[in-house]
Amino acid sequence: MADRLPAALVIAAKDVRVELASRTALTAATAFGVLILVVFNFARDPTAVSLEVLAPSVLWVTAAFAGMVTLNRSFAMERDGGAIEGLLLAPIDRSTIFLGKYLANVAFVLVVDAIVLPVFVLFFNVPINPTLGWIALLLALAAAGYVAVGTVLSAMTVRTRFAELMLPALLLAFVVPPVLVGVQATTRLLGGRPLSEILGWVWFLVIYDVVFLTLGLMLFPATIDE
Amino acid sequence: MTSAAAPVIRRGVVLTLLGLAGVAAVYGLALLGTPTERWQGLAQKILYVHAPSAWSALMAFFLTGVASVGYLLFKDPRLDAFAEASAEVGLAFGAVMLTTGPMWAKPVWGTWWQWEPRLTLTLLLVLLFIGYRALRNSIDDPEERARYSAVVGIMALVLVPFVHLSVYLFRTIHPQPVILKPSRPSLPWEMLRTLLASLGAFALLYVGLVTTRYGIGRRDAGVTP
Amino acid sequence: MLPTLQLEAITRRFSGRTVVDDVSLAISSGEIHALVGPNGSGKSTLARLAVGLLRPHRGSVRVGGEDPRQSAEARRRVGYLGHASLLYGDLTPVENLRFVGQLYQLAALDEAIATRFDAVGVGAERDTPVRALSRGMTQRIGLARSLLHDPDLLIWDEPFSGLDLVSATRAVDAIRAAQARGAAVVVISHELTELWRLPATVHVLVRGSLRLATSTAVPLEEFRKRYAEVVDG
Repeated sequence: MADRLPAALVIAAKDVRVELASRTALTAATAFGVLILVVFNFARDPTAVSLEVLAPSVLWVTAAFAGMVTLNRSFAMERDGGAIEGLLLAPIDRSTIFLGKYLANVAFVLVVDAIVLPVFVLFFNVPINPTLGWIALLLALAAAGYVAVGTVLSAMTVRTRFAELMLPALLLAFVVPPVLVGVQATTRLLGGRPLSEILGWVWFLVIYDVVFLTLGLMLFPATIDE
Repeated sequence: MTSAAAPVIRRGVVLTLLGLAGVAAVYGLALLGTPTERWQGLAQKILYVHAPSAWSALMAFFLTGVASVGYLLFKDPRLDAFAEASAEVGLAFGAVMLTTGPMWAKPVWGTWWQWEPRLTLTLLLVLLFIGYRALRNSIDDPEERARYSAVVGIMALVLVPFVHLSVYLFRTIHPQPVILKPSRPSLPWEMLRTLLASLGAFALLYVGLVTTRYGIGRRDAGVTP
Repeated sequence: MLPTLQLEAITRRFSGRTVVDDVSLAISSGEIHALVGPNGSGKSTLARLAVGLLRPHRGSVRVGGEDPRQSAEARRRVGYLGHASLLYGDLTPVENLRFVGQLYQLAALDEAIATRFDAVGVGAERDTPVRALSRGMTQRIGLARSLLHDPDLLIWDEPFSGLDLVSATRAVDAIRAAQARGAAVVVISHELTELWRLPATVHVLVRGSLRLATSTAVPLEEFRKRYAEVVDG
């Protein structure tokens, strides 16, 4: 897999360049994320439910939804000029295309998370301490997992009529385990529990990532070969 | 117009009717021939439909996953037809499970729903396979449709242990409030017998429904089953 | 010496209909082949089969002895222009070709890009995002893109579409230059006048089968007669 990396990075860099030139997905996704946080803030009765109790769930749901929104552009850009055929004609493996797309997608989701997390800290009055670093790591680990599934799914849903709807509909089931685990771990971290308690969950996320990244590499060729 | 699929569909319908008769018979057995559970009362009898339909749904989705692997390896359109049939039957059983579940849970547990591993897993799979169907419906080319469905089917299969484990971990940390006696006690022989009979009837029903649906799918594709 | 492109008994169906029917063809280095035929005769499908974008249901495709669907090296030898531009609308022509060059690991990239753009006639537009450019300009960029890595096998599907007279001449010159370089060239086109400027073997594809093989040495008027017979027959 290491020999695929240079070509994959070329593809990932191209994805980033296209996004910077068009600036569609990232701005929309981050705005979406911030808005969800705003909605959550007002969608509760402050006297009945405390911020601390709700905070982890709010963070993870927001990060997951805002992250999912960025995934569609990956193959939408390949569809527009028929550019995907250019990738298929190139002297690279199909898995390399997947890897490049995956890396770019992860980068975009991390950017969205990097904005959602501070805004979350701001709105929900979260104390700033090292646990935030661990929470960021958890978000990144979860992203690495569900983005692998999302990359495969988006390659297929882009050819359907309601791609924007179809992708989240299929992806959400795969987002449940990482989010569930992430919320549990985040609750513990914000509650001041020792790191040793969340180690099991970190391992869960790592295994999830490895399994679905491998699966994605294996299944992706079936989504683009005619 | 008779097609080569007609005998397959006929066989499937016969098996389905037999299966339904079996389920009806089990119900007779459940209502009349099986003792009523002391704590849970009459509502517990829904278990004889609810539990096997949950297991059948899971098995149906599992077989769809296996057939999906088979399709990507062998590219045999019959495997895709089977995967599609099993997924639809799984959705049907899933619907039964989701409706009978609350009917049983409310009188017995005091809540309509419980986020326990098996139920949650089946629910997620039902939602996922509704998406699977929607994806299939939006692709015209049969070969592309089969390929894409297989990819989703395989990913669903791999997802199963992760959902189960994460929900299980969730529950060990948050034990659900016990209102009445919800845990699975060791069933007395009469109840176990009825449950097993129901499972058998449901298995027959599964085979019948999948055979019928498979035959219909092949007939619609205009090929030999 | 292996033929650059070898198609053997290629068959491809779409939704039950046979679009390419048992086609065999061998094309060697330095040869120019033209593929003509009525609309829907399967020419584009045949081109896509030849470059590995489609899987043949029967038969085999070999580029330099290898299957382009299996071998990355075989794909490296191919330059293709299809109906889609293969370009990213948000990037400029230069950025598009730079991406291709990096993907194909080409050296002296900027120089190569400049040379190709000069050859096909892309001037100041090379720094404007592709989505802002005209159809004819996009076509020219597509031609340059397919030539960037000096492919051994060049397959152009309707290269003259959308091109003005000057650009069409440039395209013809580019084909001659590729041939002189030793490449094998396949051109699919309706523009017989342009094709007849090249020394080429001409294949006529009707309803998926090769019906006639002749050459541009035959006067165009005579070819038109024979073509009409084959197509209507």
